[in-house]
Amino acid sequence: MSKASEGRDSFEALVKPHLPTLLRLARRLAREPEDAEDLVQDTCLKACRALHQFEPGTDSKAWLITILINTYRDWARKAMKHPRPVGFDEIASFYTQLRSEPRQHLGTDPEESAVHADLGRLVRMAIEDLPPEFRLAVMLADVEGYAYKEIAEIVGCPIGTVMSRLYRGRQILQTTLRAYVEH
Amino acid sequence: MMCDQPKIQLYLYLDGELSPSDAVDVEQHLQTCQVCQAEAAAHHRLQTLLQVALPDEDVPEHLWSSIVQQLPKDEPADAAPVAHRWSGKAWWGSGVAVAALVLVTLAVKVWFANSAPIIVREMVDSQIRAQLMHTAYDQVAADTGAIRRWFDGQVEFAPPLPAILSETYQFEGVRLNYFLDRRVAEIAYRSQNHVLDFLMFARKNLSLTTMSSRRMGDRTFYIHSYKGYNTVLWQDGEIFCSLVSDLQLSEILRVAREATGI
Repeated sequence: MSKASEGRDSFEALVKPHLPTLLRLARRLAREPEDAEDLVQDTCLKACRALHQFEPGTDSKAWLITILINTYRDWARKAMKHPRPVGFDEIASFYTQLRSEPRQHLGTDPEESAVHADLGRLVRMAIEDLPPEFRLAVMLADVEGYAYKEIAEIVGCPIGTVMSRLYRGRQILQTTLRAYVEH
Repeated sequence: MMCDQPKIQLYLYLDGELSPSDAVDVEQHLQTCQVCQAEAAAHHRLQTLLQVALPDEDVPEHLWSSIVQQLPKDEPADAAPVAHRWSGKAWWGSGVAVAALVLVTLAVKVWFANSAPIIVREMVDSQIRAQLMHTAYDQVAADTGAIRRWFDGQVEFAPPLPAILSETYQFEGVRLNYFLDRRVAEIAYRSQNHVLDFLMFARKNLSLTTMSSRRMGDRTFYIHSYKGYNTVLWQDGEIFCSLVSDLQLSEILRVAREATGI
């Protein structure tokens, strides 16, 4: 086996298992599917270039997420794409439409999965409506399960900032999704 | 209905960020306060909604292959400059490409060689082995005297006993282990689905200084993750103490602080 392909195998072992997580985060940051994939690609290539900086035995997923976030910030700074923020009105009207649809065939599988698909879209829109820093905090805490200190290291801000972003992000989501959260 | 408990304290509790004694206070409050119960329930529903709406993504086939395509090529004789997307420059000549590639592969080989100190591998493998073989813990009263008496004559040192964390962790039992030519005292705790193991052994020459470390109080804690387990090690003279668990590293470090009285 050549040195180069050994190196590629090691890089693959380090990075490839975390692609689903990176893509999940990238999809909520970059919104358009192609942009999300580009973001993950750029992240992986940056990771390859920075491989010597990775401390063996530490959390490789957190390391990759940090690179993803920095890459996203570079993008935002260069204003490569302007993600169109989904307005609260759009969410509200989508939600109203969902609520007003006649709920026939309750419990029938196809109908239930359609309702679930709509709910999924609603939740994703609500997440994407959050300011990016709130969105990141909530995703890292409530979806990826990181502790405050770990989030602070990944995002590069004080723990107090993580706590307040989490608190406010969750409050906004609770308000937006109130009917589903309280049912 | 009013509640004077600050919400931030409730969320610290829900996020597992409180010390055991503070967590117990919040739990006691939750038993009687309907306002906070409702808030906690709403938070759990929100978390469930988020996790269901954002499942693991299916990774498209082409994504990894296009990443691999853009990695540095491995022909040293490639004299023509290759414009790599992420370099952003077109002067990527053959000499620079070879040097960069060698650096990457060397770094990766070093990563492999140092991927886990032998003590960590022994510790974690012993846990995996014990799980696979359903090795039981011995039951003993959860007090320091009984534990000390159990280990008396089994290990050649007096294990410095951790402050037993009876609030979030239930005492599981004790066990004797053996690796690196040493008898190892094991004291295990359980928190829901997770086991947290204290492993202690005496050894003259074992250097931890090549490991990543965190300084807390006046102690240095050495950390390493291996096969999905997190390990935290520290030294008390010739006695090595360690914690092994699949719990999050931040939680294990918190327990280590508590156990060492920091």
